[in-house]
Amino acid sequence: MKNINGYALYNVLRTTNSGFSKWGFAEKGGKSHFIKEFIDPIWPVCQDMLDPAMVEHKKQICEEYEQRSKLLYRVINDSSDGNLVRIEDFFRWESHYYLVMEKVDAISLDEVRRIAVDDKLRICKALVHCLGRLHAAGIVHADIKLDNILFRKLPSGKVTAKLIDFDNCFWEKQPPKPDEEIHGDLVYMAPETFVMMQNEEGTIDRAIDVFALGIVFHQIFSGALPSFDTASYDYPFEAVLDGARLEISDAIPGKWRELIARMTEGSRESRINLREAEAILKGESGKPSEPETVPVPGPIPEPATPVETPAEPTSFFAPAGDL
Amino acid sequence: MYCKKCGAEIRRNAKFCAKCGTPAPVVDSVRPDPTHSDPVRPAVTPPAGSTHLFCRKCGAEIRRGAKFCAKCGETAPSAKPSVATAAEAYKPPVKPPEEVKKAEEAPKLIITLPETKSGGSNGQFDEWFSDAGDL
Amino acid sequence: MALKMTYNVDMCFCIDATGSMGPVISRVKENALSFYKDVTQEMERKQKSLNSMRVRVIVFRDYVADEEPMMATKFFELPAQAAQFEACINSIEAKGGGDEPEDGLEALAYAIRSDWTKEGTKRRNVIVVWTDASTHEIGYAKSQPKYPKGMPKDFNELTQWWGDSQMEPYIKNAAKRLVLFAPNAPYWQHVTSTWNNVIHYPSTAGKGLAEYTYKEIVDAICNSI
Repeated sequence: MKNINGYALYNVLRTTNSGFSKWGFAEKGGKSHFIKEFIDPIWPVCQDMLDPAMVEHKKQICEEYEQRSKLLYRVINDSSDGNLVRIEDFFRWESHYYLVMEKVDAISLDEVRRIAVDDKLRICKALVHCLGRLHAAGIVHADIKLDNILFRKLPSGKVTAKLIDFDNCFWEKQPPKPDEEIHGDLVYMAPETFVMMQNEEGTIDRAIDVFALGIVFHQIFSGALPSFDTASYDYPFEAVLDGARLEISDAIPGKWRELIARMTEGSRESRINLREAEAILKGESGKPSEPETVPVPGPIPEPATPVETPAEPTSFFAPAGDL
Repeated sequence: MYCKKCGAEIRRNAKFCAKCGTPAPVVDSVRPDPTHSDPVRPAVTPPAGSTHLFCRKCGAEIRRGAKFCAKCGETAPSAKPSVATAAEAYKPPVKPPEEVKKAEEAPKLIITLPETKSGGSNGQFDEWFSDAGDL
Repeated sequence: MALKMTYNVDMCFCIDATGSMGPVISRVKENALSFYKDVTQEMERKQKSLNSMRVRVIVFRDYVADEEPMMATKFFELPAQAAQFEACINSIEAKGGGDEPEDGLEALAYAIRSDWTKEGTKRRNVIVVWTDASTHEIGYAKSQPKYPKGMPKDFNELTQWWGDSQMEPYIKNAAKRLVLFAPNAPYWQHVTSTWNNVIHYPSTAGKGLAEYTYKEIVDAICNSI
């Protein structure tokens, strides 16, 4: 099986997420890792068929992407309280870029549905806390959905959650332009995102994550999306934009119903933010939220100088080595 | 011999009909009815200068002189004129410059052959497909 | 302002219709009528709803060797024109081909220049190439009388046509995907190692894409949408 920069793939990489990347699992250093191959940008390896100007143009796109990505991943790692999946490596190998993350042995969503309500409360508080830290670092996740939360059972039996998939992350101060295609799952799309796409004007910010997280919380507690008129609307944001209500399930306990309702407010201005949400949750149990405690990884080392030859690996994450 | 498609006379040893460009795979001394749709497909035209033929059924190369395709058993084309002579003999009619159009807006056939049913074997294909034409 | 999300998908199938491709073309024919249903079912499973799906077909062979080296259809609207699409697919014959490389890059050029839909909040323009052969360099057959005008003069120009995040002359960068069922051979290798938004499913040369089932092909297409 293929070896990519020392990562020995277990299987051929798969494409399952709107064709933005391929992913799979690989082994390096005796450990299993999750590895993702991006399809954009591409480093021009076969240069013989391209004009020098085109080669330079393609390289420049790649270099800007590398700089942006390295900084983004560094900040994501630094902001983590343990509930963001750890980014372990980012490099170019031949023509493609790769992101390597810790492999999380996740339990199924069926098992998640069966866990106790108190555990669900704890997990949701932890997610509010970790996403809040990401927002405080100036980053919007932009692809919050149930599939991007991995639930793990610790040896103690306790279930924890990790937020994954940073492909759509953006700096809040540099949001996508209105005429750019906004990625992310339509089920969790915030109304203002659709409005911006439709009108090709406006902007989006961290509030889109809050909307999406509210829908995720509804799924964690009740096993389903909030109800809406599916005969008239395909997605929650359509119902909300049209002034229709999202019905929050009676199965969801007390203040959480109100919290989810405030998180899925149609108007961005009326929507609760995560700091307010966390304050409400602290009042719910009287205890502060308890994220999983794991050592926060150190700063990402500076990359080695990229090597031009396509066959040579170009790793931006050199081992920190001995002190 | 005579062209199975348009009925024009084809010079001895010619690989193609000089009138409509249809490859001439079979020697036929009787002038056919040009309106008759013949299901026999022409042999694949080899590149100019090549001494090879290709099976009209599976596309595999057939050794010069072989009677059958070694891969699928299809009968090899019986006419074996000099390819170089055939390539020289083929002179497509001169067409006026075509207006540049997008592929899907191109006229029905912007090729150097007069408009005829393709291959004589698949009228349905012509219903859906047109020559991709100029860009 | 309309409040409904509209997700419009256009697909352009570039099919190598030379002799050895018979088996995969047969497989596609068997499933042409259910293609729309298969794709929408898979998209529903992913909780995605498509408002419009259009498909067009380009059949390519070899400009030097073949009488019909490059034939194209318009876009079919699915499901309204599903029967016509099926008839179109059923009319394709796997035949011909001269030397082993075919003229796949010219087919790509036509595909890029498709009349892609400009409607829809979200769009996907997917080009699917199916071949079991390598491809000639673009312009290999330019001395042929059948060779069309307006083709890119070289691979560099074709690369410009495909574009990237900073140039999109003919196809929107975020919307485009090239799903490539092709061998790891010239010049497909150049495409996969220099163009963005390409998802390559390597095929074995000369084997008619035997290694891919219809379901895998549908999955590959749906995974790019």
